Amino acid sequence: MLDPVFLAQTILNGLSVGCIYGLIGIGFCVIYNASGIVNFAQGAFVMMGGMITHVLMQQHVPLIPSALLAIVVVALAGVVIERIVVRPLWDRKATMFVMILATLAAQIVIERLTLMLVGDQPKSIPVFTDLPPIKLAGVAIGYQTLWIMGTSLVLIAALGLFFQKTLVGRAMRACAINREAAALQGIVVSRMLAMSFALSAALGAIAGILVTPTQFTAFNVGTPFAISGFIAAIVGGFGRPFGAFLGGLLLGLAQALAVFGLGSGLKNMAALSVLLIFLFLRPSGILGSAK
Amino acid sequence: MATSPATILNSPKLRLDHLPTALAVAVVAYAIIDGGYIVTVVGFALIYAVFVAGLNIFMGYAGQTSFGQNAFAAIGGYASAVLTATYGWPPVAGILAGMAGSVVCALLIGMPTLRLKGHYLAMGTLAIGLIVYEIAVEWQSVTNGYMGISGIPPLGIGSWELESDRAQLIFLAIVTGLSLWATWRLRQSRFGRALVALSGSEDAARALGINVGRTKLIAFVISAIFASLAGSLLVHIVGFISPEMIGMNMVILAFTMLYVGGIGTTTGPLIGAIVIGLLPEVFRGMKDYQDLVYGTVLILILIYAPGGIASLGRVAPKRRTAR
Amino acid sequence: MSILRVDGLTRRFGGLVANNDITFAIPAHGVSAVIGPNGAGKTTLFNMISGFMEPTEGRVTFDGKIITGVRPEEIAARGLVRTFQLTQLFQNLSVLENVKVGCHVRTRAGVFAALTRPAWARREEAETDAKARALIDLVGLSDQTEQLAGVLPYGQQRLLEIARAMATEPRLMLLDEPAAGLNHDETAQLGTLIRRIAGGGTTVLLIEHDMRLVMNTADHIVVLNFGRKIAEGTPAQIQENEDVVEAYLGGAEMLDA
Repeated sequence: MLDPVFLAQTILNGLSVGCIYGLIGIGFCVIYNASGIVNFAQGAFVMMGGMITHVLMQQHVPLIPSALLAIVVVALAGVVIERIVVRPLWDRKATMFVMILATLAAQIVIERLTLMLVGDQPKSIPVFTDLPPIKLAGVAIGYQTLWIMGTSLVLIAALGLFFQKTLVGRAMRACAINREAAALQGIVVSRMLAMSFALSAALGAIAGILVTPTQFTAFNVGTPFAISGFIAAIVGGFGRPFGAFLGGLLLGLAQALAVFGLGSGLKNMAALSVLLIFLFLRPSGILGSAK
Repeated sequence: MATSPATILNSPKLRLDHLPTALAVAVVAYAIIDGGYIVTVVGFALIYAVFVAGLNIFMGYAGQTSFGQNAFAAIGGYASAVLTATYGWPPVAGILAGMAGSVVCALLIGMPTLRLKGHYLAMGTLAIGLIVYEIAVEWQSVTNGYMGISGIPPLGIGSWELESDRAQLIFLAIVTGLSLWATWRLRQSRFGRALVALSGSEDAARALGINVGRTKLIAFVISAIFASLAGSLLVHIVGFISPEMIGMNMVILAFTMLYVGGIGTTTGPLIGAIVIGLLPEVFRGMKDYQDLVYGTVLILILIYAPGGIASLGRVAPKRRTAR
Repeated sequence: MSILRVDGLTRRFGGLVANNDITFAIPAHGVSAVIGPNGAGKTTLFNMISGFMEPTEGRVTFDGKIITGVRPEEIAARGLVRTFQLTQLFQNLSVLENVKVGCHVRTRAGVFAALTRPAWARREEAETDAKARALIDLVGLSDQTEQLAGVLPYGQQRLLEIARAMATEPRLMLLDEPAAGLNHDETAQLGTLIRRIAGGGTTVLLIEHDMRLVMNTADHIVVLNFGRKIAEGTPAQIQENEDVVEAYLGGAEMLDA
């Protein structure tokens, strides 16, 4: 009954989509660390990454420039959201819930605008490398999977360097640890806030671009991705970016195994159940809380 | 008694802000008299007012967070739908059964979930709402999945049914009125004070002998009962239920109404429901952009008028709450 | 006859020992005080006594019964109530409603009574109202009765907290730095209020910095320093205690007395 090849395939697919969840989860952490806000518009960034790339390619722009341009546009969108939605609330000392709600509303607005602009038909972008999958012991490793995993690892390494070695990265970490102390040290906290949104949006966009060739994109794929990313962040221990990535992998794995064992209808239930289990039993996540 | 205007405006008694409430009631009265298309719109708004009133108790008075009350609307709605359409139960029995189910679920869900704080609570409740939505979609044998259940009989007792739209609207107006009356009664009571105390300082409430966990749970269950009632009413009025009716749309719509009307006020839910409910009718052609407008309105209200319509003029203490 | 006994109370936070083997007894009736320089561990002590924090070691006995590990709301129901160093008022309730919340623990009307309003519940509400108004008069806030608690000036907020705590009909009231942020006049009025409360039968235990207030109002004083108890006795005894004088040497507090 248990086909090892099929199981291995499932695990591989799970890890692959887990990388995507992980990248989104890191995005959550970056913003949360800089501001204490859970940015519910994160999913919109993911959707926009794939969607803008598609739109550009429709205009005959090649893949790589399309993707890069999309990332830049989405990063800017992140800053825009920070300026017109988050910052006014922040300045007016709104409660945590109000800010979460506002970012959720922002996600809805972006979704609907996208719907108006491109319609409700699912869209796609082509796989990055149009070659048949590599076969390893019966398991098919698609090139897109390699792209996803490879890019994720490169990004993780780059983020690691960014946070450890660069001035801006360390400034962001300082904000995460103690905002007031950071401000006293001359770090412009508001600029850090904008930067964290830009970075988070860019990560989301990259995740979206990587995953769209394997599944379609549409105006409303944002919300499920946001939830998965959030679950990844919780599982990894909210506030720890690399924990979030681990959390994403775990979530992808759990989902894949659930589908394998119980059928595809329960994919979302599996994810939500993982979330609840962690919230109730171990809210500090697998690695324990960062603070 | 020499009191300054600020004191009068700040007085809790004036939370029943009169003019917007009077206008909202006037709209309902007009709809009843007119009997035309507006009856449908106002009826829908009244059902949502009941839902939002429940939300207001948990989020407005007690200062808690729940992104998932639509779960209980789903339980109430589907219970009513299945019991009346498939098993021929009388509507009232179906409504009560739905409420009973919601109470049980609220207790089971509330006990672990309400221990969470801040964004964990937000996400936990969101997960609950999404899980119930998924169940509505996947449990095809009972809920018929995306296709939904139709042929739900209208409200009535025994052989007497509320056939006409106007009769249904009058009934809804009565139910909504009773719901708001109940929330007002609760607010004025010992229990209501304990709720609002929770939103001020849980530690201080504990230090005064209040069982915070139990009080939160009771508020959650009450809120669930309102949501369940709203869900049941919705399916009887529309005659149909599908998962989309009790999904994230409901959540966003309800929050928009809650904040526009005025969170934490007695008649805020009614005002918000009427204003938002009428919005698509006032701006013709808005139908296609409904959610877009709601989202934008919500953001603007949250930034510029977080107290909503019912509390314009009230001085809100400006401090950052750590929740 | 002591109303509160603390035996070997210790609280460790990892490597830091906030309270170290503290033992003392607070007599029933009258006013007692716990004093000590900043960081002496006074608020941690209060947190352990009132159930907000579990001691690492030791025991708290209230009215003859051990209350270590009992939850705060249960301790309050038994007659031990506390206020907080940073005022924790119910911002969205009026002054009157704040004090009425204090009556919560001695009343029982629930959700059903709220909706149906039977005669006994209406009586209970009337009694609560009368009691709350009397306490507001006692602390001198009568002209602010309908005001939202959040807009009160600081000194009045502290008075409101005391009125609210009094509404629980406590046997023992713990006041955490009630004079913090008050000017000289307000502090003097506070001292009078505290003695009136004690005169009414409620034992009062203060944490305070303000030496004048303590020496004028307290009958019994416990002195902490670096988490340990260094002295216990009457104000006269404390003022002559060499360890106490040394602990406060150079500190502005002693010069205030």
